[in-house]
Amino acid sequence: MKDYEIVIGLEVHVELSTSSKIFCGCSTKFSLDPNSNCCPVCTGMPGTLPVLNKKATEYAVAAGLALNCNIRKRTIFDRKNYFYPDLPKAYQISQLYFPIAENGHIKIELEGYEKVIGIHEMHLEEDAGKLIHDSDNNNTLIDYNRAGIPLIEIVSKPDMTSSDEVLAYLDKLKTSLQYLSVADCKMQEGGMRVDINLSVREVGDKKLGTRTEIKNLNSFRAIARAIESESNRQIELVKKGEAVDLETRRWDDISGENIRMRPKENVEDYRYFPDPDIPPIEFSDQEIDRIKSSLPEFREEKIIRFQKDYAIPKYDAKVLTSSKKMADIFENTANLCNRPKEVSNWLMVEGMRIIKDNNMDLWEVDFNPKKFSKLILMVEEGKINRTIAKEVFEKIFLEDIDPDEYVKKQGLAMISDDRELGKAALKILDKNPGAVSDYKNGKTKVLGYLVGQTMKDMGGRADPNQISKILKGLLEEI
Amino acid sequence: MNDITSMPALMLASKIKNKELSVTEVLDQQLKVIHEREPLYNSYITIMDDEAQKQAKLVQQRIDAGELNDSPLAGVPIAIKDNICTKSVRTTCASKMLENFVPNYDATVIEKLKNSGVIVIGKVNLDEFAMGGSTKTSYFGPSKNPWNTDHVPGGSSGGSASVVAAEQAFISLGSDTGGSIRQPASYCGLVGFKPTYGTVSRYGLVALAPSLDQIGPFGRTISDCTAVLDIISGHDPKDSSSVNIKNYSYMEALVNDVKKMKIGVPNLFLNKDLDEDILNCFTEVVEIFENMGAEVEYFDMDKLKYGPQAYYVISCAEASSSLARFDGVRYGYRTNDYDGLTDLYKKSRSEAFGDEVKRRIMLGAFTQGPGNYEAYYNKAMKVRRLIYDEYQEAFDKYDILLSPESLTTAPHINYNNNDPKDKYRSEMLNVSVNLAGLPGVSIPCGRDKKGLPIGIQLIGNRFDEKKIIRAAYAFEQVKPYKRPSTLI
Amino acid sequence: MKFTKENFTYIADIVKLDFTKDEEEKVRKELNRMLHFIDSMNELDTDNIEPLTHINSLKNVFREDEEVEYRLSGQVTKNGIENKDDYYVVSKTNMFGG
Repeated sequence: MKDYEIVIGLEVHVELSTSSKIFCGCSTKFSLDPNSNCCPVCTGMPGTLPVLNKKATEYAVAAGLALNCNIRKRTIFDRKNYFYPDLPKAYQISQLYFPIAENGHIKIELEGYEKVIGIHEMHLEEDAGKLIHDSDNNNTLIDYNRAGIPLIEIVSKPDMTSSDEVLAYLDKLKTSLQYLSVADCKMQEGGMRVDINLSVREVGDKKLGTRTEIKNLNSFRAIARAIESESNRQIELVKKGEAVDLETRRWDDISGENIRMRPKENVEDYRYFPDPDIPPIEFSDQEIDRIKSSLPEFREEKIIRFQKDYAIPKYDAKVLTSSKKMADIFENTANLCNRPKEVSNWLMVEGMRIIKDNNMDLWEVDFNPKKFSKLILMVEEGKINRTIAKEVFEKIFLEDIDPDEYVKKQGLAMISDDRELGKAALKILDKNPGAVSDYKNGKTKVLGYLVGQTMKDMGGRADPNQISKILKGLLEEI
Repeated sequence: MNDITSMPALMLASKIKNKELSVTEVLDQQLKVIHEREPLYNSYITIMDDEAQKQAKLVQQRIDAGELNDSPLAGVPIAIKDNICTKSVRTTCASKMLENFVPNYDATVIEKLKNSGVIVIGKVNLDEFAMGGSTKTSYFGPSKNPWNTDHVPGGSSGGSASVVAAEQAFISLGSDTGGSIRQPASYCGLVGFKPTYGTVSRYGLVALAPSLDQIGPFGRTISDCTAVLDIISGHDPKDSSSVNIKNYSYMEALVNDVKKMKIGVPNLFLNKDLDEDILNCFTEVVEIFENMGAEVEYFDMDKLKYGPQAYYVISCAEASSSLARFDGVRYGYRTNDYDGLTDLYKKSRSEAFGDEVKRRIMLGAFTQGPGNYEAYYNKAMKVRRLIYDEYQEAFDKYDILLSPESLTTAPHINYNNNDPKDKYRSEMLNVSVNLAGLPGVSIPCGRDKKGLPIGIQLIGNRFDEKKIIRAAYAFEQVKPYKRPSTLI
Repeated sequence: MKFTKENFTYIADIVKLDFTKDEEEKVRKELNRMLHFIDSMNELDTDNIEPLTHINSLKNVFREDEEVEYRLSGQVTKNGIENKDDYYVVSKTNMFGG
C-alpha cells in the first residue's frame, strides 16, 4: 500500500486598512449603497489615471518586514490584463516582475513540533468590485465600492502538508498583520481571502504532482474541508493511475461540493507588462529603517517582555497576547493598578469566557483599563467580594459601566459590619433550629450550610469567613 | 475673408482686452464661420453653440471684473480633439464605441483653459481612438484639408489641424503619440507643438499609449502655440507621469535670435523617399537658419531607423491594454442581442470598433502574448532605450535637431498604401521623438508644386522647449504664416 | 513569429474580438506583413541593454491617504447602459450557475 502526502501552497489576499483606496481618494469604508464610494478612476472611466496611496505602500513594507521578507529596493507595478465584469479597467494593477517583498517565512507551532513555512513573495495590488446575482431576472449586478481597495497578496512556498499546518500558518499570518494594525483580516467580511494550491505525491517522491487551485475560501472551516475533499479526490485519481488536471476549482461550503471551474490560466495569458502610468517606487535604506522602527512590537517580542516585566508564565503571556487589543488592555491595566497577576487571571478566565459566550472577535475586545483597574482594587480593599466582582466585570466588559457607580446603584457593596452580620446570622439560626441542635450535637459540618444560608440572605454581599466566625460565636452562646 | 476669425489668437486676445471686441461678438463670428464651412471640411464632431455662449458671457464678466488680466488668451475660442474629455459634452474618440458617451469630468487641460478664460467651442475629428494618419478611420467620416479638399488633413489630430487652417477656430488641442500633432500641422500649413512627455497632464486624455501620449496645441503662429502651452502645462497631482518643472513662462522664449545655435540634421531623414519639393524647401530652410547665424551640421543617427518597429510594438501593446475597458459593461456601446458574457464582450467590441483599431489591438496582444514578450515587447523596449541614448548623445553636441516633418505632403484622400515599409518610412521622422519623450514642433516653410503645405520639424532635448520655440520664432519672422489660398 | 490560424483564434479570444472567416484571412495577412516589418528590428543588437519602462526619471509619486469625496450621482444611471437602482447591470449573464 502506497502512502501519499499532500503538498499545499497558499495565496492569501489581505485588504489593507487605509482610509482611502489604493489609486484614488474614495473611501474604503463599507457601504450598503452600491457604487457610492466610487469615482471615475476606480470605475475605469476613459482618460482617468491612478495615483498611488503612500500609506498603502508603507503598510505593505511593514507587512513584508513582519513576515521576515527582504524588501526590494526598486519595485514597479504591472498590468494584469483580463476581462471580467468586476474589473473596471479590464486590467488589474498588480505586481509580477518586481514585487515589493520576497523570501520571507512564518514559523508555526503545532502539537509537538515547530515548522518554518517559506514565503515566496508578497506584492501590492488593487481589489476588484463585487458581482451580485439578481434573482429577479437572472441578471448580474455590479458594485464597484470594493474596486480599488488596496490588497497585499502573500504567496507561500508549497511547504504545508496538512490542514492543521495551513490553519496554523493562517492564524499566525492574521495575528502578525493585526498586530501591525495594517489589516483587520476579518475573513467573514472578505478582509482575508485564501486560494489553495494543492497536489499529492507518494511519500518519498521528490517531484511535485500536478496541482489544482481552489479559490476564494473565506473561513477556516471551509479551508479545512476543501483540503480534505480535494486531497482525497486527487489521491483517488492517482491510485487509479489517472492524471490530475491543472485546473481551478470551486469549493461550495454549504453543499460540500468540490467543482471544476475552468482550466488554470497560464501567466502569459495575462500579458503582464510594466504599467506606464505609475513611476517605480524606490526605497532607501533610511526609509526602510524608518518604517522598521515605527513598527509596533511584534507578538513574539511581547510574549518575552511580558514574562520579564510582569513575572507571568509563558502560557499566560501567550494567551494575553493573542490579540494586540487584549495585550494592550492587560498592559495598561497592570500599569495602572500594579497587580499583573490579578489582571492576568481576570482576563484569562472571566475575560475569555465572556468573549467565547458572546462570540466576540479577539481583535474587537474593548475594555476600559481604568475601570478594570478600579475593579481589581475594589476587590482587594474588600469593597465587594469575588462573586459580585464577576458580575461587575462582565458589565464593564459588555456595557462599559463604571464599577463604583454600578455597585452603589445596585447596592452590591460588601457588608462587613459585625452587628449587621450578627443580626442576619441570628435570623438564620432562628429559622434553622434543627441545624443548630445538629451542631450542638457535634455535627460541626452543618456550619457550612448555615454560612450558605446567611450569605443567601445577604444577597452574597458578605465575606463568608467573617460570617462563619460570627455564627460560631453565636452558636457557642446557645 | 472674415476679419475677426482670420486673426492670430494673441492679437485677438489683446483686442478683447482693450475692449475693441467683445467675447460674444467674436464667438458669434466664429460660430458663423464654423457653420458656413463645416459642409466643406467635416471637421467638427460636436459644435458647442449653447455651451460656448454661456462660457462667453461668464468670461466677459470676468474680464470686466479684471480677473483675467494675466491670461494671454482670455476670450479666444479653442477647438478640442474629441479624445479629450469635456464635462457634460459628448466625447466620442471618433468611434461608434463612444458615440454617446458624456463624461461628468473635465480633462485637466480643459480645467486650465476654462480657468484662463479660453472658450471651448467644439470637439473635432480624429482617426478612431487616435489610430491613424488621415482621419479616414473616423466613425464620422474623414475631414478635408482646407488647402485642397481632395486631400486629407493628416492625423490623427486631423480635425484639430483643419479647423485652425480653415479659420473655424483660432487655436486647437490635439494629441501626439507618434506624430499625430506634427504631421497634420505640416499637411495644413500650421504650427503644431508636441511638448516633452510629462509637461502636460494626461488626465482626461483617452489613453492610446500611455508612455507616448502628449496633448499639444495647434496655432497659426508659434506665439499662439506658446501661449496655449503656458496655460495647459504644469504638474498635475492626478497624473503620476506629469513633471513639475515650470518656473518660467514659455513666452519668454519668443526671441528672434539663433546666433551660434548649433543645429543638427540627421542624415537618415533626408533619404531617397523624400519628395523633391520637400527636399528643395528643406535646403532653403537650412540656408535661412545659417543666414540667421545658426550653425547647421549634417550627422548620422542610425538607430532611429528602427523607431517605427519599436513604436508599433509598444504603442499597439499599450493600446490593446488601454482599450480593454471598452467592453460594453459600464458605458459606451453595448450590442443589442447577446447570449452570455463572452458574447456580450465579443459582439460589443467587434461591432463598435473599426478595422484599424481591431488590427492594432490584435497586434498589441500578440506581441505580449505567450512566447512573444521577450522577442517583441521587451526587445522593443530595449530598442527604445538605444534610441533614447542616441538622442542624448546628439544633444551633447547640438542645441536642437532639424528635419523635414514628413516625406510627402498631404496625400490624396483615395491614396491607399498598405505596404508597411512605405507606410512607416514617413513615421520614422516622427515616432522616435515620442519614444524618447522629446519636445517637437512642426512649422510651415513653403508649398509644393501642387500648392500643398510643407512643414519642417524642430526637435529639442527633454524639457528644452525654449530652444525650439526660439528657433521657430526666428524662422517665422522670415517665413510668416500664410492662410490657405482656397479659403474665401 | 507569425499569426497562424491557431494563435489568431487564441489572441482574438483573449482580446474579445470576433472576425468572420473572410475578415480573419485578410487581417491575418495584414498583421503578418506588419510582423515581418517589425522583425527587422532584430538587426539591432540589444544584448545587455536595459529595457526602457518609464521614460521620466520620476519615482515615488504618491498621494496622501485622505478620503476625497466624489459625487458620482447619476454616473451609473447616465452612462451606465443598463442599471438597477445604483447597480451596473449585465443582463442575461447568470454567472453563478443554476
